Amino acid sequence: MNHPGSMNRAPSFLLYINVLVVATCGLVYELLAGTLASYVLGDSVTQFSLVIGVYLSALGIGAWLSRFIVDQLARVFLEVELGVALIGGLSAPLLFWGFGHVGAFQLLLFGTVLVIGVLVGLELPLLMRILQEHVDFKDLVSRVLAFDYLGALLASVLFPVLFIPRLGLVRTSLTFGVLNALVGLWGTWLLAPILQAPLRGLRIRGAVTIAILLVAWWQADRLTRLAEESLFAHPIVYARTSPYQRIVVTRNSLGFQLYLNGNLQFNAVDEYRYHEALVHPLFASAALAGQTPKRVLVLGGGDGLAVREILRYETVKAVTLVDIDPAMTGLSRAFPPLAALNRRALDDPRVRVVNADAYVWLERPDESPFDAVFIDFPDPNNFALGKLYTTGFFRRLRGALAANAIVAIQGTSPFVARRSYWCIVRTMEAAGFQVAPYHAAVPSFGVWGYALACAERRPEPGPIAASVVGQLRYLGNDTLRELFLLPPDIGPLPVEINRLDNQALVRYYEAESRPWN
Amino acid sequence: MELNGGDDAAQARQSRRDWLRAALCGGGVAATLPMVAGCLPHAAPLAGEIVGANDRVGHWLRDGGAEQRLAGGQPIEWREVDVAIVGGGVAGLAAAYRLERAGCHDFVLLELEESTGGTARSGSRDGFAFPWGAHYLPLPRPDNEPLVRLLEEMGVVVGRAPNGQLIVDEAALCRDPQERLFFEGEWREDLDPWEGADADELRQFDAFRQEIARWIQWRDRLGRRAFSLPSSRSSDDAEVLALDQLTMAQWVAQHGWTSPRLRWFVDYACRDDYGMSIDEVSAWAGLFYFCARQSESSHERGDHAPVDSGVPAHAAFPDDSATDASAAGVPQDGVVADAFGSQPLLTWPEGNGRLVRHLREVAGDRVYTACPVLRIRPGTLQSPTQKSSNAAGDESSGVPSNAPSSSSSGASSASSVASSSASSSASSVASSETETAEVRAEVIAMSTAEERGVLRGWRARRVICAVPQFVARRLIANLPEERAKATESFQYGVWMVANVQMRDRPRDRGFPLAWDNVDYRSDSLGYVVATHQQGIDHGPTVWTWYYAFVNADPRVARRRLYGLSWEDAAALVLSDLERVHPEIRALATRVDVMRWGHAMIRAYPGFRASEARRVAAAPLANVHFAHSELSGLALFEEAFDHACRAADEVLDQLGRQR
Ligand SMILES: Cc1cc2nc3c(=O)[nH]c(=O)nc-3n(C[C@H](O)[C@H](O)[C@H](O)COP(=O)(O)OP(=O)(O)OC[C@H]3O[C@@H](n4cnc5c(N)ncnc54)[C@H](O)[C@@H]3O)c2cc1C
Repeated sequence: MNHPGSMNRAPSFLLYINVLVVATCGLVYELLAGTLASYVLGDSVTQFSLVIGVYLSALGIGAWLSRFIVDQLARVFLEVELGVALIGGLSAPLLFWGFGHVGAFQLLLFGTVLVIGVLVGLELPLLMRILQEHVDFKDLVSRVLAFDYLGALLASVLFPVLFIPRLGLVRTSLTFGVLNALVGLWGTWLLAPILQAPLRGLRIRGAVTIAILLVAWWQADRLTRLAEESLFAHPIVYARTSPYQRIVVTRNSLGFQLYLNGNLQFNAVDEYRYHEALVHPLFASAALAGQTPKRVLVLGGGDGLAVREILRYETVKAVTLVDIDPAMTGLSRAFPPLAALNRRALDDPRVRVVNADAYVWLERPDESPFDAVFIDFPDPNNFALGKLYTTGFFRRLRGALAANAIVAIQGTSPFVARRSYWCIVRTMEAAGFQVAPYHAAVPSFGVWGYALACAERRPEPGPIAASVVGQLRYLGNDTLRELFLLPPDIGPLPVEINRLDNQALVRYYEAESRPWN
Repeated sequence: MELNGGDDAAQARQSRRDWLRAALCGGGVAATLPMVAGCLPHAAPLAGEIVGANDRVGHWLRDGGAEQRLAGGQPIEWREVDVAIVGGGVAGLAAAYRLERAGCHDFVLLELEESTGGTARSGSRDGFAFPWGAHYLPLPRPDNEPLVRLLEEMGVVVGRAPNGQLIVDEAALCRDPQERLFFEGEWREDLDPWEGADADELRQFDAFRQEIARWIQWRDRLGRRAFSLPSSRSSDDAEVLALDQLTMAQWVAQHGWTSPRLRWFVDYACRDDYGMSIDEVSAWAGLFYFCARQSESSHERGDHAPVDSGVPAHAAFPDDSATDASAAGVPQDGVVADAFGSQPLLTWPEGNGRLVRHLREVAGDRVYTACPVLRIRPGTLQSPTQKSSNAAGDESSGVPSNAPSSSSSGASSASSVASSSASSSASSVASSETETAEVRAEVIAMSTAEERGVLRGWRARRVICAVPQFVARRLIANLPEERAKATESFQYGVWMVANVQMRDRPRDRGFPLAWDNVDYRSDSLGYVVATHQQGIDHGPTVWTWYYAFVNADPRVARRRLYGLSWEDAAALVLSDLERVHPEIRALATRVDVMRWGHAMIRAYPGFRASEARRVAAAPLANVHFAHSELSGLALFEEAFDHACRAADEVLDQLGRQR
């Protein structure tokens, strides 16, 4: 510990600010990791206590390691600070991305926490050793620790009150990274008297760190959009913009929610109601007519949840799922919570996944005919989706059906969008189907509308297969019959038919859903 | 909208647009291109080429190539045929179709290009089909029988509702959303630049619509509409034809309408349909655009009355409500007219290329492509009975006024024309009768494909000449003075069309991508999305971009067009698109450019009512004429109508049943 000359007195006060920032940032990274872990893995008590445990022990490791640093204390301190800035700043985006893409997420999580903890743990001892030359040890300890804990307070207050609601996890992390790096850069001037030249390399590294973090800030839209954080009821744990749609997964203590373009597709809490109601009435109706569908087509439904229900029937020999978005079907396979929810349905040997626009695919389906079809598209909130509910589309679909095949379709909420629902029903009729409308109660959605359609006869509700009915949580034979009784407030209204050249449905849906948004 | 000079201050402020104009007007290109090319962000390597109407052969013909070639050799063979059709555009193909359906199978069709279709040609690449020119057809009214029959045959019209309305295959109707306009910073549905317009402008627009409505319900003493498709069914009443004596701009001014938005609205329609500005096009043609496609039944449905004008539908269209019984019960699949009350549009990914394909299939192996005709020598008629020269077909579509060919009467001017060519024609059809022997017409064509330069001849009882007049006047031997002079009245507009291949679609502000997409500020006509009709709404696509050279002498414009290199043209296309799609350069992978030097007939004031048009449409001995330009309107319906008329003339004279 030989350094030339003596430090000016002035900086030591400023160095305490450094302590404050280092402490604040360190705690923020820890909070971020804990929050993110509890977002994505649920069970916040466990996640937080694990993260805190790992973090604190890492601080210890860092402190212990500091003894091995004997030379150029100030330089090492600044290097470490820049390192913390970079890794800590990028931690949330890294973990966020990793959750969707890396199998061993926990390893990544605790690895990151460990590295940050070790680096932060190095910092304080180093700083104290730098300052000890000038300050009484008694004063030094009291001041440094006071600022350290003050920083912790600052972080723990600002984090939930200001940063998370305003910036979201990813940008909070990057913001503190930038702050951290700025202080490090500033330190190269502050500590200049005790730093050995050259300082240029250090400063360039500081500037580069800041630049990287700023670019990441600017690019953070790819992970989550700034405005999005406040858009969803629950924290976002996965977000991706595919060429087709914006996919967002949120999580609360009860489970996951999947949104496409901001519209809720399912909530893990009650999705079984939605999907049981979509799938089983069709099989029950087929059974009543003495049929057992073997070749099944699913249009949309890339979450694999309808397929999960379909696969309950041993009699089903082949399921073809046509979903436009490989990002969606990929997520259903690789995103652990979703893969668990759909019981790896898309990896079942009976299932074939085709990524194509159903309208285009149906022009020349590479296999057909099908005995049963499930239509599980998002609600018709744009023209590209609206075409999937037109007479033109349903006529194409008829070309892919076996005799007596039944089609089940989700048809948005007949309560919220009553005309839209009946427009879908009437459009199917105009395309030559006989249609049996029905509904189900899905708490996350409210009253939900469906229909069974068949070109040859009007589908009637029948009994659910004995082998399956016991597996269901929502539907039983009595409940199923009741689904087909529509209360008057969701009964038929006169509507236009939805055609490719008028897209009446998109306009109905727009008008009807607007007041609810 | 001015392409040449005459900039007003507002336009001058729009520097990019000036640049586009300057570049297309010549002079600017060389100076500005490096600058533009230099400041492209992430410019991807761009592929593409100038494709094209076979200008080389065209220019060779113009420069006397045919004379040299004919002087240098004889056809390697002569074949006999009942009918030789020259030109395989819509008119030629439709004539072949009409003959075939009437049981006259002995014809040939000779086309200069490697593919048929003329200005309705289409292309394809990487699995995407796209138009090179004509891209839509308004659904004909049920009374346009021949055209409806074609569409029935194609499965486009699938039936008729009890009220007579046509039931159309949904896939052929332009998919919603049809149009959008980039206006004041964002895309808006339809071509409505009325956002934020003041009351006065809206009043003017309303008045304009009411004036259009008045013309729609106008009928002459014979009950004919002022404007009807095909135009041969339109009234020739002096009140209507008077409109042909002024420009559309003058007509607008006459009504005291000064709204810039209204001017844009009308000007855009004129540029889009006729390739002429509001200052150039005749008011007759301008009004034709707005009135002739009116739905038969739409008037009564109230929703198509002039919007917000406070005029009840029945007051606005008393005539129609009295005569149409078709209002009630529009069938579910029936057509619904758009907000302006026009017929819905039929379109296909390859545009009118789909119609061309069907016609071409019917004509089958009697079509010779890459086979430009170098010479047509009219023959003489067996029956000296000539069609009177005023039978231009306009008022007698499909119903030739003259007697069948078996009747005979005195000589006519046409036979003297024919006799002058008879000397060069050894062949004649032996006739046992005592009248003048029929001398067949001769058609000589040259192969530009495998047997490059080989000449073939056909001796035909009748010729249907379905090429434009600027070509016809060079092909026909010994063209009578009167006709030669008439051809000079035929002027042609200049267009450039580009197909832009894209790896993905740009993000948009406002209303989403429609079939037709127009930028209010641009000189171009915008672009049509080739994948729209297929329902492909994501990923790679092809956009067909249109530009008409307006407000310029066509000869000057043509020189500029042919002066553009591919690089010039691609830069022009992209910089025009870039204003509404800043990321276009990162998305475009290919720009192919079509130069249409003689794109379409110019509907300038006086042409429709001119004698020249009638002269050109009348048969010349055994040569009959069919082309859309004979109506003064470059429209599929007109090409088809003239083809039917010419084919019927021929069938009548050949004594066959139609
Ligand atoms: C850019 C553009 C866009 C258009 N858009 C539309 C539209 O959307 N809807 C619409 O209805 N109309 C449109 N039109 C008008 C279109 O021209 C007509 O609809 C119609 O296709 C004209 O057909 P035609 O047979 O009368 O003429 P052309 O298309 O001119 O046909 C003439 C044919 O004769 C051939 N030919 C020329 N010389 C010779 C020779 N020496 N020997 C043999 N053959 C020869 C030519 O190659 C050509 O095939 C458009 C035109 C253009 C240029």
